[in-house]
Amino acid sequence: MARLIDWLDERTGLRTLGRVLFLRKIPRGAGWLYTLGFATLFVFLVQVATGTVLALFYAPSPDHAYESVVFIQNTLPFGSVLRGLHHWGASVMIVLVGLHLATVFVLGAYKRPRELTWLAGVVLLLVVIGLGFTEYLLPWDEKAYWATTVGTNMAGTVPGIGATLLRIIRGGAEVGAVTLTRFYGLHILILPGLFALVVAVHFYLVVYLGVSVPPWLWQPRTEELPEDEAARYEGFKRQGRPFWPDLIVEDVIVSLVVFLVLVILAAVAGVPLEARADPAHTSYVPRPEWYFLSLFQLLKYFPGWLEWVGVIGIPLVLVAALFLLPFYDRRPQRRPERRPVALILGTLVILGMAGLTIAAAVTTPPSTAVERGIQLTAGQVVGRSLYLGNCVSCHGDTGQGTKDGPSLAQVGALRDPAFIHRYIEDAKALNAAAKMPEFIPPPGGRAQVLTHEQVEDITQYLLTFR
Amino acid sequence: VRTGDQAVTVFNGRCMHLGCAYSWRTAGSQGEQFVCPCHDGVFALDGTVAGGPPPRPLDTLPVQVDDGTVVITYQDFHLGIPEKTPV
Repeated sequence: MARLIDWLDERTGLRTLGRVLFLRKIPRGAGWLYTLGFATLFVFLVQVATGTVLALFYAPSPDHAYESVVFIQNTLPFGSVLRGLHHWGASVMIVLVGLHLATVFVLGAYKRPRELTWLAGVVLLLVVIGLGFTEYLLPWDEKAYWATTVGTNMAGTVPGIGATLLRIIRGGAEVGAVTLTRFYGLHILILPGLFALVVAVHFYLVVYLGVSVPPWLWQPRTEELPEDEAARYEGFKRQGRPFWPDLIVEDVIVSLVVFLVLVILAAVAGVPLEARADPAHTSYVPRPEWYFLSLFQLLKYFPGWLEWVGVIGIPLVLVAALFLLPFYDRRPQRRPERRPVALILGTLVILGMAGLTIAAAVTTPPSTAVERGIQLTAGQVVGRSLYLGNCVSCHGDTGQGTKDGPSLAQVGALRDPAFIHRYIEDAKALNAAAKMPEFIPPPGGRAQVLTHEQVEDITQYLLTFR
Repeated sequence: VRTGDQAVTVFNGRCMHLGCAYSWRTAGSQGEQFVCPCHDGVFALDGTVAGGPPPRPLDTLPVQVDDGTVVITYQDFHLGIPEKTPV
């Protein structure tokens, strides 16, 4: 082993790299608040791993996207856990990026000489938001279609270039097949690639400059030469602990806790999949993911002709303010209690976003996966979609029955699942007087109408009629 | 919307704000109006904006009633702007 490392070291400088990355000293005072960047990178790697497997089973076309996600969800071994990890990983990533940014902001760690580290970090935040937005469309369910319709129409309200921008984003006039492949490409190639590239820069700068000394230990001096400041920083570093084997333990512990939370969310909360996208559906109530709710709510307050202020104006001002922060806030003071203006402004932005998010949440009706007060499973949601497509004309939209078909109102209490399943497949075999068409033909029969899995999903949905 | 014995007005089914599908409310505080579930856009029966952010009235579509058969020329227009310009 040692000889192999010697061999590699001679050709690659492996030992130097290891020394620089792992044996580097972390300045005195760095504690648990400094573990958030590592944890964010860890969740990104979880997203890459789960996303790669999902991509192996996903079909990026409107004809097959929904069915392939149903397959991942219901049939693929551990598919629902995999999808759950990826779904919740996105939310956890947004939370961690937000906490990491807030910590760096409060500790004033973006100040000289770490301005570029901050810039790279803001770019990473924007990429993460982009990943969150392009993720929507991929399952091609109701939320996918409607949230993307609204989200892309927002681009259309940008003064002057709106119509062109909309066409570029959608690849056509409507959200369709080209939009899906475009978002898929962005989501799995362009944005993760950009993220990896910028994270490399961000990480290089963290290693090169070292993390900041906590503000309660660091005395700001206005008349200090850069080399004196660097020497002072070196002093803190000498008194600090090495990354390996000391601080990495804290980083790994936090990452493992985050992973545990992710697994629990994936296993307990699951991941929603709504009915297949239906552009003609007029009763659907689209709501974005929680991290876009503040923007969603903001749009309600602008009359049509000022739409662009909410869509692009306010977000652009906020992003620019965040981006340029280390260039207009150049005082060396880093202690939060001596930076009241920065802290108050930051708190106001957070409170504003939280207030908008709460206002949006309380006006949101219960999820569409709840019907008649019953929480539907993913299979039952698919079943309802199939019911509305195949059964509704005779049995009514709530199973109340019509002149062409009997009521199904109590069917879940009166019949067992096997009977319902067989009855859908071939009603006449169980009841010679039945008028209901068969939905699965005998072998060699007419073209298949529903697969066995689809009949089972309808059965599971009908079992909620009781 | 039926406006006479042989006359109808046909609206495009998308909200003028950001393109959600609005629907007719028969009862409640927003009854007898078209209501969009996204950002609370409200339109009156004649398509004019009765509330919320939509920048212009509902788009009417060219329609012809021929002996009881309604023929509609379907068309989409740019959303989110005050002018009605075809896509």
